Amino acid sequence: MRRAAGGDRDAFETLYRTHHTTVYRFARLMTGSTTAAEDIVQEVFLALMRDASRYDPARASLTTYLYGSARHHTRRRLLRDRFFVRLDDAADLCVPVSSATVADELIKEREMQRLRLAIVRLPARYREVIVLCDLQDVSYADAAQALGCALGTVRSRLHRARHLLADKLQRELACVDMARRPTVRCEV
Amino acid sequence: MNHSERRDARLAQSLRILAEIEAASETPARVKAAVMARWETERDPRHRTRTRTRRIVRVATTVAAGITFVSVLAWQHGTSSPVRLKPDTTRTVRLKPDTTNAVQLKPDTTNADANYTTVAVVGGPLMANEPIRVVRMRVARSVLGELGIPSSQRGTAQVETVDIDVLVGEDGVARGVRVPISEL
Repeated sequence: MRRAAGGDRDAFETLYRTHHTTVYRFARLMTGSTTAAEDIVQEVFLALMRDASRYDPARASLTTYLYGSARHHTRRRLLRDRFFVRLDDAADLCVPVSSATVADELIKEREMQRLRLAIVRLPARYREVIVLCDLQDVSYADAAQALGCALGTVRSRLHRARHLLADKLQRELACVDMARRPTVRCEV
Repeated sequence: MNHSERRDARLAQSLRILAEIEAASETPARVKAAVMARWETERDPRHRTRTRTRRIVRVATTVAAGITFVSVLAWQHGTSSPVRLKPDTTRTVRLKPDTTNAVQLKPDTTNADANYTTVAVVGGPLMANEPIRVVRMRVARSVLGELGIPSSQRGTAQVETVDIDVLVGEDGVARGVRVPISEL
């Protein structure tokens, strides 16, 4: 990091190679958009390039610092894009089918799609903890540092977030069941 | 296992699967290319000089705009600042008492205004150095009589007018009227 701050290109490239997926996955899950995630990765690394001297290794690890920066840029991005309506939520996050039966894979993919949408629709403070702790395996302590809150706050938010997520998924399933129910003609 | 536990277990399983799927996602190579291109640009000495020049121009423009703004404000404040009455150092002109209680006779105010008589309309007498605004008005001579200021009618057929100064306090209320003695 010190070498990168001093202008060493190789050091910066190594930094990018080591951490870009972390930032990208976090941004992708937070925004639900691949395009936005790509932009956020660029912004995070550009900010790191310009303000490398602001990073203090005594305060947090570089990964935690990058999570904090990614969170900041994600929030800015979401704030900027709040007036836009997405045409197709599903198309953006498609994952290629790769295993045994196509039918199983489709069902699984649909479930995952529902889960992704439910996560994206969570309030930001709950989404952050779900993405960090449940999907990126970040420890509670690191998540607390990245989010700038207490450890207990992370725990309580996570509990609440899981509860909200489960409720959302159940409601959606109930809607699907209602839609599938056959109509019956009334006999007079 | 009750319904809530089943639901939580299912959610945990779904989140695990999603985490596995997401772990396979990679940043496109074009993002790296874009970031490294920006690195090259940022480290280019010409770009840094240009950036510094732009920053200097921006700061200079902001400072100039600030100075202009402050100057305009100061100028506006200067042109509309209230007139302060100097303490009375001259003779006192007394007029006949008025019919209303509100109108009181007051002394002249300044050397320069020695040929004026001042009549308080509202409140007590004008204090020394009290900030006021002076509004010059042209009124019919008969108005002087209504204010309790005796004036000699000049025998003209037309309605005769007199220039008087209305003294307005900081609160916007007229505090007094100032009439040139020559008009009385």
